[in-house]
Amino acid sequence: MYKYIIRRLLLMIPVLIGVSIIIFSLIHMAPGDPYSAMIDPNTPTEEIENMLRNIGYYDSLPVKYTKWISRALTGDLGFSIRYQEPVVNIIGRRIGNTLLLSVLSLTLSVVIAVPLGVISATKQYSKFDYIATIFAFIGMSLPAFFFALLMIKFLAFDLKLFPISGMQTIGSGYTGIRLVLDVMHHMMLPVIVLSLLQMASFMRYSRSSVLEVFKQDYIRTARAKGLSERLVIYRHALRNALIPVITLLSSSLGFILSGAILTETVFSWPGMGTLIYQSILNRDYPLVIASTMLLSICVLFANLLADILYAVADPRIKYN
Amino acid sequence: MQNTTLVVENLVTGFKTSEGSFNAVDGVDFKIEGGKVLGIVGESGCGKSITSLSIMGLVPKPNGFISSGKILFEGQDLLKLSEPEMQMIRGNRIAMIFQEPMTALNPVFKIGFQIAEILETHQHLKRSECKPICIELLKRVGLPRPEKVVDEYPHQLSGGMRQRVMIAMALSCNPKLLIADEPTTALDVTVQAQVLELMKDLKSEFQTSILFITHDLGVIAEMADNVLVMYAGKVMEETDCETLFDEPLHPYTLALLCSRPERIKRGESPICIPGMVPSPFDMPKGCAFAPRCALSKDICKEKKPELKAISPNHKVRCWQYYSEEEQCQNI
Amino acid sequence: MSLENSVKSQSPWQIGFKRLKKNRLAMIGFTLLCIVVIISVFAPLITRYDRDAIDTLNSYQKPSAEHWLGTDELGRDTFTRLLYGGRISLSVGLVSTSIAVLIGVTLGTTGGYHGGYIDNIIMRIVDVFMCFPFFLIAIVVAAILGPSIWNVMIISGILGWTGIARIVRAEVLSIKEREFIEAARALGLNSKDIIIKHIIPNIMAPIIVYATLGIARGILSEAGLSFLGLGVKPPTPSWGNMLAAAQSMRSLRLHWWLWIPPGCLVFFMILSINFLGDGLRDALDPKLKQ
Repeated sequence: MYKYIIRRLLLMIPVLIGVSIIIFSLIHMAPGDPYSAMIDPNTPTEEIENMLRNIGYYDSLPVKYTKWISRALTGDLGFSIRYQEPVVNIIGRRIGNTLLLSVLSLTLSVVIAVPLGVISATKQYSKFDYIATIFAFIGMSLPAFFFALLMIKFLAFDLKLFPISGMQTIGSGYTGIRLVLDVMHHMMLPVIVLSLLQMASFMRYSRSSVLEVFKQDYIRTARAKGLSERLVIYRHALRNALIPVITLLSSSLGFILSGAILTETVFSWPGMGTLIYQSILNRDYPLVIASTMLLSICVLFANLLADILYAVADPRIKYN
Repeated sequence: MQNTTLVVENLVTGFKTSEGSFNAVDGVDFKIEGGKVLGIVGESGCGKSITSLSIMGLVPKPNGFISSGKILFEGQDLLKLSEPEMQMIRGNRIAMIFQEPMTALNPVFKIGFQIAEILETHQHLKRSECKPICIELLKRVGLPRPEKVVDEYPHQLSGGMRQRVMIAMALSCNPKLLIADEPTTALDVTVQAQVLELMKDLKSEFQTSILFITHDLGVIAEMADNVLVMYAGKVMEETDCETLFDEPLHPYTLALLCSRPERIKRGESPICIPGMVPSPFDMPKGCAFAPRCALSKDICKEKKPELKAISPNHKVRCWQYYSEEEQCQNI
Repeated sequence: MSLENSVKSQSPWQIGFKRLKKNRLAMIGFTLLCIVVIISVFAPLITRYDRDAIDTLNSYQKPSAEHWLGTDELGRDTFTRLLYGGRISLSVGLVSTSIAVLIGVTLGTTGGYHGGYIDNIIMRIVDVFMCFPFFLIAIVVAAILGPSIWNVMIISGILGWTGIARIVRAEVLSIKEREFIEAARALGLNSKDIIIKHIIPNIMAPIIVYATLGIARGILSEAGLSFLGLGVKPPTPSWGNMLAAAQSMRSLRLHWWLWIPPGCLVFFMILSINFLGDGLRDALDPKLKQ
């Protein structure tokens, strides 16, 4: 098992290098230099060129990349042009907010959607199944940001049930339990949007996974043993059906992180999504590179985690 | 009645599909005496597996349904039992072995657990009490190193070993009736012989009746006391094993016997029955076998024959064995 | 004879489409799709307004008999722009899917057929692309390349090929061991011919299913990018940049007719494609389930 994990970690290295090269070169292909905005327009051209040379602006791409990656490995992800602060600090302030949102909505959607999918499968073609299927299709087809806009329009503006945007009431100075409640109130809409949409695919997926398992011979064997239907479903079918659901969980982590960009932007939630979007608009490239890399690494680790869980759950998988 | 384990009367099992419904088992009667083996032979799709699933109450829902008939097991009509009552019989007094040992065991549970489950359900044993019994059962079916096997997963065993595990599971509660649906088809010839031998030993030891389903007449000759030949959901011929091989009456039985690979001499091409089993949606009006039968006459294509007793232990469903008068009356 | 009747000769495609016709949801999706395609193609015949005709005196009009879906900040007729926007959104979906299918099928078949180090390299590239959070990279690239309809098509195509490549590769791996491929090889066909003439026709079913669902992905990424102002540039209308009206708090609250109709259209289009794609998957390739 440890060997397997180590081998997988080693395999991640070329992928990581590939990812970083692509992101790095993409961003350096962007026209114009992002520093001009920082510099006093009255500075003589010569001096500007000197400054740019000093920070390595005229280096060739491979040289820049090598410099960047060797600094990144020591934990120095660069200096934000816009915020005049190390990138690590800015990301550190924001990532918690994004994790709060995504972990909560992921948990919520798994806890609700997987049981619904299983029930839907056990009652295939029933009214419940039919309604659940329609709901799942709607959820899979509704663009997250449009759904978010609808929620803001109707629940926040018209019915005034929730705050329109942000993470806490500005200038309220809440502390302690009041602050927690205030943040929770602000979180409601984004969490509803993110989790409802994911529930759809989780439900669909666990339903078809259970149905697939129901066709297997060992389910017939379990029935032939005289086990009750409850044991057949919740012991023999579920254990097998949940194995592929694990893979979906990991891929949805990538989805939630990148999908959160739009959702966070719409709700002005101060997380990684809004940060990346704003730093793209501000041409704050060190910040863009670092956050994009970070999210890609998260996805990569999520995939690794999924594979490991898969191997733990299914005794047929061998680690070599 | 006392010595008869199972009586099946006029069993009809149908299926609903998108293209209409049909009867996969169409009025089948038979009985099995205590400690005897009844073999059912026929090509794939003739309804033999559905017959066995009907007895177990495991006809695939919601498309399959038993529309009429009686299944009397030790005098009790299984079709009248509720699902919980059937659960108490399944795996306990009637056990079943399936064709595909490779897929019939749950891949994520250990062998020991899968056997123990039955003991827990039917004999209300505690999990801890089960392990020695499991090892004993595995030893009885001739598995090497049973103490290890209980803690292994199905994928670690070969096909023959898995089928032995299936048999051990089936025998765990000393069933009165064992249904074996093509138990050896997926196995190598040598393993096949071992498994058959094992089943025979167990039968004589525990007086278990066996319903043995196969398409392999060689296996029938080896195992069965009585034989049922099925075709297109109906019994074509019913007799004891010796009579079937010595004096087969139905043209279909004859054709089956002739197409056995061991009867083909070197250099000859194998004899096969022309045509295929008719589609259930497109059944011939007369005898179901008529389109493929070398001896078919006009009446065969027009009207279905009934199962007719030729002698006390020999029944056949074929117009050949009706007198001219009887044939005329029927037209 | 009954025997011959029972074995009707039907190609797998005929059987598949027969099954598809019975799938009610798939047929609903297909019909909706056709309707939207027709009305956006024949937009000039349906509306009497010009797509970009500015009428500042009549800005932010509510829906009325005159303007079915009201007017926007420049007094342009929303309904008209919605019809023309359909052309853009659908063509983004189609073109980006074509790009994705082209790359995916080429790399998938090459890797699967040749195996070895070629396959290894291709699969590593797939791994790299798979760990990009799709929308994030799309935004980054869109910001760099600048907003334009072509860039949206290219981005969505280049980021969307990995799924098809993996499926195609897996199919090729199983199919290349079959006898008819052996036979083709024994006849001396070169690998390009074998792939194009013998392998691709046999893996059309999963390709069609994936391509159908890919169109939905294309429409969705157009909507998302244009909403952020990184996609199709106004004045050319697309459903996505019409949705961008909701970026303004005032329009979000008061002028629902500017952004709810395009949002609903995006939703209905994706819903129809999902219905159709799911039906196609069931009908053509049951083993592809999820």
